[in-house]
Amino acid sequence: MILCTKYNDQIIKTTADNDVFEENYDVIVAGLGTAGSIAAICAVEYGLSVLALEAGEMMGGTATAGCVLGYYCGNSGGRYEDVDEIINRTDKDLFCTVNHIFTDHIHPWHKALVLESEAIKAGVDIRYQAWTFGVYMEGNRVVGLKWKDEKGIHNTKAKYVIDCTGDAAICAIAGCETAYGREFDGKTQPFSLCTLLVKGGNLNSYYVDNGYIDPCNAENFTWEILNTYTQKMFLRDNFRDGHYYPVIAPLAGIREGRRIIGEENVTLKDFAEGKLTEEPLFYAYSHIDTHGIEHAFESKLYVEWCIVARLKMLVFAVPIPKGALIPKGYKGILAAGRCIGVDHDISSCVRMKRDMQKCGEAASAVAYLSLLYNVDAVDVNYNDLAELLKKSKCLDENNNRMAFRIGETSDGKKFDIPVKWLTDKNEIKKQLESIMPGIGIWSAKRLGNAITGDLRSWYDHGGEQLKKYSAVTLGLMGDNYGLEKLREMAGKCLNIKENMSMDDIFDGLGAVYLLGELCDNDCVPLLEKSVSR
Amino acid sequence: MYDFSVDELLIGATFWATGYAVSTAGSAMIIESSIRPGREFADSYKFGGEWEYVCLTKEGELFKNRLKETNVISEHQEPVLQAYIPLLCEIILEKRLNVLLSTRLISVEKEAEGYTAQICNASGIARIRAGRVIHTETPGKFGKKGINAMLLNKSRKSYYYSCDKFSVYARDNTAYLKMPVEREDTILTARQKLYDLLKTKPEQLDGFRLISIGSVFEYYDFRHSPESFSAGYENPVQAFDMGALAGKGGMAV
Repeated sequence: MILCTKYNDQIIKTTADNDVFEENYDVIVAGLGTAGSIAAICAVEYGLSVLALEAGEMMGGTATAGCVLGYYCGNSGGRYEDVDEIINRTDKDLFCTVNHIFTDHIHPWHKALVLESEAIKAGVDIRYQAWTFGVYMEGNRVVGLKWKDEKGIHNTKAKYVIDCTGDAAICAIAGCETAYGREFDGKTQPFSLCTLLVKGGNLNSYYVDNGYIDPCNAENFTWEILNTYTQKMFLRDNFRDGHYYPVIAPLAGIREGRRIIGEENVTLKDFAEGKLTEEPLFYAYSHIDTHGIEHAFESKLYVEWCIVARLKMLVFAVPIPKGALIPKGYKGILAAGRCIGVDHDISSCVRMKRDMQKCGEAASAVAYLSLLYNVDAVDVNYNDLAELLKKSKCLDENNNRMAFRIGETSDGKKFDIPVKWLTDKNEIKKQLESIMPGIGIWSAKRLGNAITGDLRSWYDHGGEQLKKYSAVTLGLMGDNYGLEKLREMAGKCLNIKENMSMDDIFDGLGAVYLLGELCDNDCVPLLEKSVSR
Repeated sequence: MYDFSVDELLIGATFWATGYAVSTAGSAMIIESSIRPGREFADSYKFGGEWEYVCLTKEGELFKNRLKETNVISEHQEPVLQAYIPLLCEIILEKRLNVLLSTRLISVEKEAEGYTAQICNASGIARIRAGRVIHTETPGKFGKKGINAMLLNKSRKSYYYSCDKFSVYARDNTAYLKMPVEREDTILTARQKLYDLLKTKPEQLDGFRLISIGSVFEYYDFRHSPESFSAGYENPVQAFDMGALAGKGGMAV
């Protein structure tokens, strides 16, 4: 047996045949955040013995210690809804009302207490202030953890470890392959340190993007947290001038950290090309919600999707396969939460609280069936898994949908128009002429050469709108037939006027990108003129 | 081989530890398991008392003045508890103190000279050679401990009630519930006991609604000096000042 530890960012492996396990569990859930809380409860309800280790002092993660009261996107269904139902049904009069405008907002301490009660009732062994710093391995199989809490250092054996640390911390110690950040500069999405405010008797959460942070690097993490606390938002000249926050979240709101390389990996490229798993455990549901504004530093696909085709507000279901929860080449360990096998581009879409709770449930289901049938996680039968997850509606085919978010009112009501990829040329043409050309642009791109002739014809003979988006679509496909129009769109945008519409700005930014991609030398004077101005 | 070598390794980014690190002539490193320096007061909802305390060090006096200048403490009003954290962070950055957040002590071993400590954080384990290891979060001999909660006081009426099981103090739109627990209680069992208390709906808590629950115990009735245990002092200024005094060698720890 080998003990893996991380020593100053380097994995050290030492022989540990003399180490003695003091306890033995079916499953250790490491991290009792959004995914881990539900994973622990589900695993014990499946009949497994569960040890749950949490570095902080409460269950629930982002929704509780992170002080994010509301849900944003994500799909319904699954064990988490039972927990939320208990919260909505019981003891509400004991807690301060939360943002009463949004009906799905939940009091963080109410959720933490109910999760804790449910976990205790089910039989989860919860250990707070428990940090894992060693992983026991036999070959490529994880067989236990070395961890510490207030009572001391413990060696605990487990048939499965579910890494719900958010940043694949356990997988990283075990030596699993991981990825981090965007290609350009390795940055992840910005984080937020949330606060709670009481206004008119209601508890509201308030937060801004506080900058980039690396949760996997202790020095950077410390520096950014200290800096955040000394931003004007927190450090006031006069703390009684207006209301100061009664609560500042004890948990940093990390949107993206280290991700595993899974047996299967979900990418925006595959999604955009329609290469989706036919064996989903659940559907994540969101738009590309990066929070960053440095679009130029993101991938080409990101720019093409969000800026050129203006699909940033396309809310879509991402089917998550079992392999995305299994670190490549490893046994006895699963990942759940934002650190699963996804790429940076789609990670902002696969991190919402509803979906990450479902991810925890799915991971515990994989562990359960693996142990029940004495097979490795990769060999768990999909039909058995689907049957189990469909019972709680964690897996629900109705959640496989796509919509365009066209608005949101002050009372939290979302206006979504259901959409689908188009294959009919007339429908694509109609869409390109509409106020939401994005679906038409990307549908045409998916068709490829089969629609090039039509796009050129629409460019030559169509009205202004059709000409514009035919040029954009052709440009996306590497065809410079619409260069003249693209130059015109870029020029209009670069000649910035105060009353310029957002449509013109996005059109222009997309056109500038495409002119670069199409290596249009003739546009250089136009760009130079704009820059000098 | 060591990754760091320091004169003092301080456990907990407490007021005492920060005061110590600010004033010591030697090198000090502070490790804090949470992301919240000063949480021993801010997260236990301990308002403290004895604010007329006269500081024994200039560092303590400067810190007290900063709390006054930013109105965190003022006469006739309770301190703004959450403000402690940014103010301690400000000192940490200004004084360039060697602090690591989200970092935990794994082990300490006595060597012929000093100690070898192992700490753990997101970057992994590191070995530290320290002349001394000073715990500032570990209570010594205390009488009682309790868990506290912040409540919404909708009526905004001033109110005070106390019995064996709990006490509640309300002023303006906020109230604080204090509930003593057993020495053996963990934060988990204490929090569930507090939840159980709320569920019995004692009439003295009518009109109050829970905002949040403290994640750190409040300790009472110290029979001896708290020494380096920061939360054992009456208020953060005293804790900071006594840390600063110890850092100058004026107090044995």
